[in-house]
Amino acid sequence: MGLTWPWWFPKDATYEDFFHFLPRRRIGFPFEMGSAEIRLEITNTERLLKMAEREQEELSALLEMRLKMKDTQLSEFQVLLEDIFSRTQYFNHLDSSVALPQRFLEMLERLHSLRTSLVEHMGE
Amino acid sequence: MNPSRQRCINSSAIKNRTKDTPDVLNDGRSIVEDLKVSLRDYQVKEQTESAIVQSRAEAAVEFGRVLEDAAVLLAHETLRSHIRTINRDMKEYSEPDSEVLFQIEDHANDAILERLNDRITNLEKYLGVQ
Repeated sequence: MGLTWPWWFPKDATYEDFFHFLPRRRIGFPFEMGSAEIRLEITNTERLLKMAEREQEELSALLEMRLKMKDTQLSEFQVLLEDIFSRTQYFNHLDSSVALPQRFLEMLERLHSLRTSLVEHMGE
Repeated sequence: MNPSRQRCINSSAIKNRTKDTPDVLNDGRSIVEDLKVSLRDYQVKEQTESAIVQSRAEAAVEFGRVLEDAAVLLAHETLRSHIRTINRDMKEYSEPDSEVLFQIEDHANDAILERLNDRITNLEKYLGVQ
């Protein structure tokens, strides 16, 4: 059985959506697990991946955890940035697409495309 | 002020330049300090050498690690960009006749970026992308 797409991101989401660019996507903390719990789960799942007979099941779990980790990291970062700028009336934060140099945007776009290829490959 | 470039300082500060100057500069310095402190939480760990990916399991593990490093790098570079921008905003604000005083070329994260791109290239090769 192949992998299913995570429900919290549509398959055709752009890399700006995927990486929670400000100001287009502001999210809360949709997950019950914190970063430490997700990290522990990732470590355990990577260990289980060495057991070949459970590979498909563990691959699915690992990718799901990795996406949750990414979302948690970036949600926390959004909150941090907005918290810092909430203390002033004279400065606003930049849009992510302006703050990040082009060479960083290109890397993020490559990585987003890679994620699509990887999930398709895992489902074969 | 150069109208073409992006800035963090807003119109409220610019309109009241004389009256609010000390407040604006104090706010700016305070934000820069907060941003600098936050940089410590977004350091990309020492990356391992880019290795050839040979299996689905290795690809999934490597992709996850690259994704985590990329998210940290995104945050780190965003913080650095805000620090650069606010410092430049404050310089122009306090010396409005100075035009663009300094062009900051910041390539501190370029080595990490290059390594991430190498790791992405290896994953692309395994997946037959390109």
